[in-house]
Amino acid sequence: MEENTNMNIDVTKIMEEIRADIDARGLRDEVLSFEEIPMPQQATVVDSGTGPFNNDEFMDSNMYMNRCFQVQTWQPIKSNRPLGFLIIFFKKIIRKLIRFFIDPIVNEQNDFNANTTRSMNQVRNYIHETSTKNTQTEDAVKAMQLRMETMSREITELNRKVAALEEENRSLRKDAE
Amino acid sequence: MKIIQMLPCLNYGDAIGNDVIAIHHALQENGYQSQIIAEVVDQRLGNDLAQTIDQWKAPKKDDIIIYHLSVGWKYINYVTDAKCRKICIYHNITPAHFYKNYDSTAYNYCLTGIEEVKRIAGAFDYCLADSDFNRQDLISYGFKCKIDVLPILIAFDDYKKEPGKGVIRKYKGTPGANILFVGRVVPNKMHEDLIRAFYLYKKYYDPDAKLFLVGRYIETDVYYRRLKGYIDALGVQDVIFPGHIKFNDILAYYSIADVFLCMSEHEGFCVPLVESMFFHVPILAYDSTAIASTLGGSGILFKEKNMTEVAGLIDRVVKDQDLRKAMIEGQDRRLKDFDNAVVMDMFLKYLKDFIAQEK
Repeated sequence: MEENTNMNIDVTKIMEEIRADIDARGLRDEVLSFEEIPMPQQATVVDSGTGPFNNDEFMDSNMYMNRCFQVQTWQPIKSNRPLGFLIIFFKKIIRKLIRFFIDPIVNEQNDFNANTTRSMNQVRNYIHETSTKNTQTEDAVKAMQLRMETMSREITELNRKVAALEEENRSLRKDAE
Repeated sequence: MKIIQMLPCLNYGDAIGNDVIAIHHALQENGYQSQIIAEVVDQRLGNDLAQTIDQWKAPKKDDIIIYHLSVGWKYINYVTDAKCRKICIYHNITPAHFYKNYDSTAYNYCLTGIEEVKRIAGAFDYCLADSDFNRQDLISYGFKCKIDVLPILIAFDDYKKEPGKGVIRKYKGTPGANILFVGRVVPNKMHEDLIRAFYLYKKYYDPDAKLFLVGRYIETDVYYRRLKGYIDALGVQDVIFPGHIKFNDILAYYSIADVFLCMSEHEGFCVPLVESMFFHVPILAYDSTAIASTLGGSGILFKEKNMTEVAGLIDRVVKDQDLRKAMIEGQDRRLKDFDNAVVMDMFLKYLKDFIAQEK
């Protein structure tokens, strides 16, 4: 393990000390390797289960759909095997021969993908519109609540003044009598 | 003269998207007419920032297209066939082999992307690369035009926002070191090596340590599921995948981190390294691709993945206050090279020189 030369830091010395400590304590990296973990099967159904709506996750998926809805029939053909050039040649011939069968299927799939993506884009737009309207409605409700609180205070004040005036009126009438 | 930035996908919150937007604003502030065109524009960016490819109008001869190259694109001929000057900003294409067993779509995109880069090598008048590593890549792909290095523009003002209180409340001051990596959960970033090193660190040095792997993933991703399988097989606890979280929570993870550990085997620049510098988190990183040039002598690089030694190094960085201080000082010095004003001045100078030269 080589270390970079960092200003003001003697990395070589630090690593020597670390190695000495590792040797002294007999520490070992006898850990299961990542390569021993089997490759999971490709998932066919995305199911994130129930839970609150996550706009970021929705937007990420929507972006992916818009980017990748079109499936390509053409895929690169490579071979690292001996006589790979022959394998590539014959695979290219096979690819040409089966195109009449594959292309219509892919075109149908692409049509479906395009329509699905368009639908999701409309859902996205609906969410955006509804979200904007909700925000506006919430703002209006908050403004109305504030107005109600203000009016309530004004009514209380007016009632107080009316009560005071009625009291004054009664007092004046009594004096007049 | 209009300057038109073009790219396949203008995403919300990713390094290239932020770079495009920062350049757009800087161009406008300096009196240039600026436009962004993308095949797909993330709705979260609003409707006024960029136009989609269906709104494309052929540029005039004195316009300049700046194409952000990071992946193959079916509309690349819009760029290469345009009768105007063209600049390429190269952000690097991940070698396809990383995705071979995990994601056939990504694998094909990367494969065709690299073939496309070689094909369009002669189409550009000038190139900018995020790092010298990217610059060497372009040369190896046959680019003969002038290529200058320009770091990615990073919106440092955004990092001054309030970090998420929930994350801080949950983890700050709890026993054990907090080890952090920030980056999408994709094969080239080698999350399995982070987990392995963390397992040894936890076993031999700090049983209470936590590993935060902050970055986007999808539950059904094959790579993510294999990583979870690895964690289960090792029986290691406290490996946390927060997922796609709010920006202020990302800031919170930086603020509670004791060490930033990077094991990535392919990076064109690695913005999280600069973010760690900003948040004064000491960096330990495997020396691959553009990592060394981004660090510029700061942090600590290791050339071999000897996991026991990496675990020992993590422990040393966590406990040795003098070492931490020296690392942070070095990182603070390096951070100045990524100052927005510095990078923007560099970009505007390159642009002016290009315009003057082409005249």
